[in-house]
Amino acid sequence: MPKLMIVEDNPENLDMLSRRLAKRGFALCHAVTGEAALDLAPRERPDLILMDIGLGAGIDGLETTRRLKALPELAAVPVIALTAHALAADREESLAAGCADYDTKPVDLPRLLAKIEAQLRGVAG
Amino acid sequence: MLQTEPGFLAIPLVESYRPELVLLSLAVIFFAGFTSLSLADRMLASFGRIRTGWLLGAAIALGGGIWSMHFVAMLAFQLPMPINYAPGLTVISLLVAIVFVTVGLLIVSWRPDSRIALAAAGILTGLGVSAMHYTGMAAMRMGALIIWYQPLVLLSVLIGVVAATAALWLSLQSKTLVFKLVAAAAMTIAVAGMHYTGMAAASYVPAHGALSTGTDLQPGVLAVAVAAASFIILFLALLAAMVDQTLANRARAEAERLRDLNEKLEGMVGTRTVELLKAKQRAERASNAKTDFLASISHELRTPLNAVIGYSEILIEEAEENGLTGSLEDIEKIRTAGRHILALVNDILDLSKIEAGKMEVYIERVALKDILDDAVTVCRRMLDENGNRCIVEHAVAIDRVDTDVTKLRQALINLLGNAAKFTRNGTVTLATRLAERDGADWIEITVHDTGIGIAPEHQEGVFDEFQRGDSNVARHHGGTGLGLALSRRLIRLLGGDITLASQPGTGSVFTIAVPARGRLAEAAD
Repeated sequence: MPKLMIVEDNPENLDMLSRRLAKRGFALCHAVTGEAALDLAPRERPDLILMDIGLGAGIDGLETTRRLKALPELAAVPVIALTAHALAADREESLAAGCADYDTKPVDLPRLLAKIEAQLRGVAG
Repeated sequence: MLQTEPGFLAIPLVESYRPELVLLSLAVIFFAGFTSLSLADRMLASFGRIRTGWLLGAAIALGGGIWSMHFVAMLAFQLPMPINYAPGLTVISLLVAIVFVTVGLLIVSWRPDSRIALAAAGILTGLGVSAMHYTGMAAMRMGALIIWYQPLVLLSVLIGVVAATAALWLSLQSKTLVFKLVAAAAMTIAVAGMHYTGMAAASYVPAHGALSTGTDLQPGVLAVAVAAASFIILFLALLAAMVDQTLANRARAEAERLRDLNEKLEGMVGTRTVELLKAKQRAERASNAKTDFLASISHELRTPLNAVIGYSEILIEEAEENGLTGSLEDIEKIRTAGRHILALVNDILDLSKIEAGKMEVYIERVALKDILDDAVTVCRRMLDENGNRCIVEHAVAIDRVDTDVTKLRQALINLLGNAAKFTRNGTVTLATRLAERDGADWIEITVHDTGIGIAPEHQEGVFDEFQRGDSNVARHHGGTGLGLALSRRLIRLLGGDITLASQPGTGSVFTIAVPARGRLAEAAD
């Protein structure tokens, strides 16, 4: 099964999303800060990363994505931005930072699963 | 004994003056001087034809005054023989005075600030006085010959020129009464000084047999008549000048008042403009603050809603797996309420963006069929839940449209969702057709349901925020109460509109009309 990495600082959201994705058979790992994600990702080598944009302390999700994309071994791993910021500008910022797709919270699981599957199949959009 | 010419005795005649008429002659020229200088002031204060009028008035007043003074003074002058005056030369002498003075005033009028012009005008006036005087003398008809003492003749001309120049100069220095009176006095010296000096330059020697002690003329009466006529004419002229001066002063005062008022108004407008600019900046800051605030609210609400909806969905899955149908219904209510809050947050954010003028429109060429299919796909579950049949009647000929696909789709999903919610076991028809408005192609998309319909009295209000056709009915069907308001605003952003036709119990037809070749609307709503 593909391995997903969830970068999320809110414990409830992390728990909820982890449980629902685990139930659908994904292997999971997670980080609660951008720095932890940068540390963990090269070792875990996930197939896809779900990136919260507003990450409380430290660097935000956009900066984390930029740095991940700069790492040769992770440049090809798709990142889906997942944020409670729902403005059109947020979507564009995410895509500009290197995210392959964008989804808003609250999570609409069927919609998110469709996006994850599309990315894992190598389909943009 | 001086033999001048055969037939004339070279014994000068005894000359005398009637002092009261001499005084009268001085009064005439003083008054004429005062009047003419006042008229000249009016001339300098006016323009065009009116200036010419004042110029001629001043010239006639002064020229006429000089002539009157001369004539009254001649009537004051007495020789022991009758004196007559040739009418032709007498009239010419009047014209000579007026012509010289006119030319002098023309020069002043042309260059009031030039000293050379002033001197030229003074010389012309002085020469005018002299020319008038000696022409008048030449008009004398009597039994005597005039012998001139030339130095005094020259002196008389010099007095006329110098004093007239001084009078004009004084008159131009100030408009105060004192200056005017002093200038008039100078003019009196110019004319009377010239005249009496000129008279002193002349001696009269009688012809044989012409000596007489009396005269048939009544010089006193004639002199008073001439002087009175002059005074009346001059008085009228002076009156005109004074009235004009008063009117001019009033006009100037009014102009000043208007200018002050204008300046005050300009100041007020300036102040107000600054105030309005500040108010505008405050409003813009407030508007930005509101948008930022709403963006923050949106973010803060979404995070806990993510947990509410997410966990309720986990619970629903677990309840279904474990057959806990009793709690399943309750948990579904929590999820529905959570989704309702989410819909509200989304709609409020969209409405506030439209109101702040921050909702941007991206026109692109899209397939209309794709938009219809998307809307049906999204609403499929709602349509099926209420047992509705959905028919799509698409006019293939107009498939490609230029519009903002996101906004059109959002509005269409809203209308289709409403139709699905308010119709049970009926038919929802989605139809498109091409229309022409003002020579341009328009797309009309109708959403026709066979549902409960909307009463006429509620039809106007359905597009208002938080107004639903019938709140009791609507409450059972969910919805934010913002969907139609938002949809109409979105379609108006695309340059179109949404309209409604409905009959209670029969169904509703909502029509989206948008330009097929979309243009940007000027402003939101």
